[in-house]
Amino acid sequence: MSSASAGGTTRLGLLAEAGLLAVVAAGVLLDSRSYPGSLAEGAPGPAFFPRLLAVLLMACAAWLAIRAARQPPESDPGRSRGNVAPGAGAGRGARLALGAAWIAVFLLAWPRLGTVLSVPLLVAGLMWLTGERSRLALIAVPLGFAAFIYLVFMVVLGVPLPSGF
Amino acid sequence: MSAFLDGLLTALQPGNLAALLAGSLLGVFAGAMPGLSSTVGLALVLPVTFALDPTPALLMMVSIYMAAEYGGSITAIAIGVPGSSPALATTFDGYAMTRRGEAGRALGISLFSSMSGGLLGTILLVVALGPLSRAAIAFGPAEYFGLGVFGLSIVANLVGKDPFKGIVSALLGLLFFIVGLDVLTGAPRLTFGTNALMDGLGLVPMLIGFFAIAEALAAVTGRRRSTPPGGGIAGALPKARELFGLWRTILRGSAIGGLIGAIPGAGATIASIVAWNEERRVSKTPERFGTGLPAGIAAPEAANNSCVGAAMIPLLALGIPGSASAAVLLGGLTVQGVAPGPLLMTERSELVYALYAGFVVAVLLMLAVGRLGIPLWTRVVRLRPSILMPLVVAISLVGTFSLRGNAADAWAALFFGLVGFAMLRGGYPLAPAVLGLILGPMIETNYRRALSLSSGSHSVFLESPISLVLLLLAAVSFAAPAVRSRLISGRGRAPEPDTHEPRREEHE
Repeated sequence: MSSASAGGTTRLGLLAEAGLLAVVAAGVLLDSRSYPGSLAEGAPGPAFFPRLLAVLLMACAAWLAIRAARQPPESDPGRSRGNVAPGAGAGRGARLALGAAWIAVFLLAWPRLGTVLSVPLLVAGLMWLTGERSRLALIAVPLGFAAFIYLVFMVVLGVPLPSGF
Repeated sequence: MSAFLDGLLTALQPGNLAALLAGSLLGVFAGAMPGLSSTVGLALVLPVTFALDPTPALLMMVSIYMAAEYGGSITAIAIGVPGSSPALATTFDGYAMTRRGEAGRALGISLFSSMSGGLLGTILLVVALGPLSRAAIAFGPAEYFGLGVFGLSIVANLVGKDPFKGIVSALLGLLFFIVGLDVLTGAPRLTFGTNALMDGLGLVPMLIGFFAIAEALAAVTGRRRSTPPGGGIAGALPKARELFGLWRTILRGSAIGGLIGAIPGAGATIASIVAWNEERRVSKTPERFGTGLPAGIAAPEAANNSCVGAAMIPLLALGIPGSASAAVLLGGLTVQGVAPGPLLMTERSELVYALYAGFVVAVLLMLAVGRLGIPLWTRVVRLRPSILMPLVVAISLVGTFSLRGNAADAWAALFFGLVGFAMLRGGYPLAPAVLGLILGPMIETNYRRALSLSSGSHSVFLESPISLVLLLLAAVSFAAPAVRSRLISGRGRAPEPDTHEPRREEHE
């Protein structure tokens, strides 16, 4: 991965990452307050390891914040080279949200619609979102794949996948 | 020797040979399908073996176990998604070769290395059953803690251009393993009162989320990978000279796999990652690992197949399974009325020798099935991303669900997919997080157990020679990249090591 173009190299990106790590670490510390003590004398209890990790994550968050503070605002690689197409990031974000949402809808609908109905819908939707526009492919691939899943998983291997209704 | 030949004749009887062949086909399939694995494949056929005699039943299971370890490399190489967790390290160089249009060559190297590792692991099983079993049983909490820390020290070589982000990634992986019930006290940790989280976040949903769904989300957002060039399949297969030129790598990988595989609980995933890292460490060009080096495929594949034979050592000698797959095999033995342990060699020697010979035949069948399948696997990589990636997501989710019949695993895969995508966007490598999740339980549980046994005295980690050596090796491993970097910079500017996730580069 080219970290130069990764989102985390901008000052705002680094600050966002630092904030996220700090929130996660704080959540772990808060949650660990309810853990019981150790069962054996001298041995650490269940809270020891999570707290150690939380402290280390806090330290990482602090270091990220320092890195962000040291970074000059003009070092944003995309902007400095002027190579960010207007709206490109928003369009990608929308497609990402749509893709993730489509998978989530599939997971919600799967037990109700069953594997044979829901899997072709998942595949067709993702194919369309990924840029596939051939009608033949959008119909044949999902149906053929659903038949494959049904035969291999449900008939041959006998895996109890959701059958719906 | 005559006992082995008798075992070979038994294994070659038509019914037993058919069981071995069926096992080989099923094993390659189970290993190649993301979400399935040798363990799942074995568990799925366990009910079928009830109806078989002990010998064909156990031969079929042995064949599945062996072939699945190779099968995992097929998807790791073809689409960059490890079919099973022991193939994780194979993705580093295997998928990079596929992107260069060398899928056939990579698969050929993987197959040859798997076969060699499988044979060497079998030899180890036959020769070193007694001594290695005694060594493996000597591992207590302090030694396991040392092994876990040594495994985690590999992160130092997986961090890529920004070591800091690699460390954060490893910490997040360690944090993910915390979710669920504490093994020692049963206390729920980071479950937020949700029953679905009590079982924890599994490794398979994490692997599928990171390597399949994150990839698909990248394709959806237009940060898709290019379709690898096709090339002539036959011409792309590796030459015999190249394969035999890897003999040192294969020997090292097999030795590592044999040693780690014989330690109960360590497993093929750790063995293959350690083997890849060791190969990188001894290489004259470590910075090229992760960019598509044949040795980067040969080492982990030899290691994970060598583990199969080695995992049988504590299983057959002591009744202790060396891996999850060996645990299912133990179930198969029990169902067939075969009690593993010191008396097995005297009471059921004919079965043991048939198993030895079965391993050899299973390796050769794996070679045949794998070789014939290479043209099929290389065609998979030429599918358009707009077709391939949705299929990868669908089969990954179905496979994840089928593991335990639990929808929560599929949701976990989606969660890890989003986390993985975000981490990649932020420049955080994924491999350290996976390593953290794998090694976290070994490190924490054994640290606490060891201190519990020593009444809180940390000297327990230094008093055990095995633990001490492992901790020293870990210290060397942690320090090695920095020392190497300083030495190189002393001689002049050298290229920075790659992130070892080259397949992600083109997303950016």
